Amino acid sequence: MSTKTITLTIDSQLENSRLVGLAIRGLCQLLPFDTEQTEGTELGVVEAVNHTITQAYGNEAGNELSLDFSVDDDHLEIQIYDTGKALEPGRLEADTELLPTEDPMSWNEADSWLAILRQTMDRVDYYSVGGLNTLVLRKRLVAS
Amino acid sequence: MVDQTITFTIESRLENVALVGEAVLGLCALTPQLDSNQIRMAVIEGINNAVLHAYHNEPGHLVQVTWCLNADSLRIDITDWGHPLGRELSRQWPDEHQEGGRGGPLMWTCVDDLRWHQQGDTKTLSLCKRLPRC
Repeated sequence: MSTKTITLTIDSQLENSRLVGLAIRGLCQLLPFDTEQTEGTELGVVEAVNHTITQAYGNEAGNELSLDFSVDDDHLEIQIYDTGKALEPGRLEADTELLPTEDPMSWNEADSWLAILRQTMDRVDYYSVGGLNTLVLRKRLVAS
Repeated sequence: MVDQTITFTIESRLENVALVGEAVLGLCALTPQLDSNQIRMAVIEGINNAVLHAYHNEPGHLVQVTWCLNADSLRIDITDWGHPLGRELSRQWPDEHQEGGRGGPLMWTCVDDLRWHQQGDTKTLSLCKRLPRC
């Protein structure tokens, strides 16, 4: 199977992250996901989009946020692009394993998005090149 | 209600059409008063037209779909930069022996308004569905 890709583009407003979430939920119907995996993927992507809008763009509307949803035989890969403020180096390696899983309400926003990504995705990467920031979320489609 | 807008972009390959169809179907959660399968069918037919007729089924080109919801209607614009269709999208079903020509009437059964715009090389098919008053 060749890779299939669709690009989603929104303006950087928090109310638009809901549109991305619903579209991702729809796209997951094409994948061998159960309800929990679909909801986890939607949650992870919405968290990542919200974080990009609030942190990279400072909650300022009028900026473009795009996302590539690519699927092949084995993996789903979601790349979220922005041209706003980049994550601090090493931020992605922050130790969110220590967050109290029994009390998610106590998490602060700066840490919770990363903890949610780690719980809902198999791999999370980030890089910033020439002013373009890319957050890469990967999920296996088959059990290893 | 402020317009809510999201844009989808795919390469002109038929296997990508289902991606837009499912994404649009997911967004139909916001318009429970509309028939989601009709919306998806119209969008898929419009994109198929772009891939098959505007691009002659040749990969490597872009098809862009903009979904826009406001208080009164849902509008979905399907844009390509390929060859012009060369005819209006008729509401009339063709003779049963005629090859082709069913995309227009099929889409007309699903939406309230259907129109072409062309500006330079950019061609847009606008599908519009009014939201019933509650």
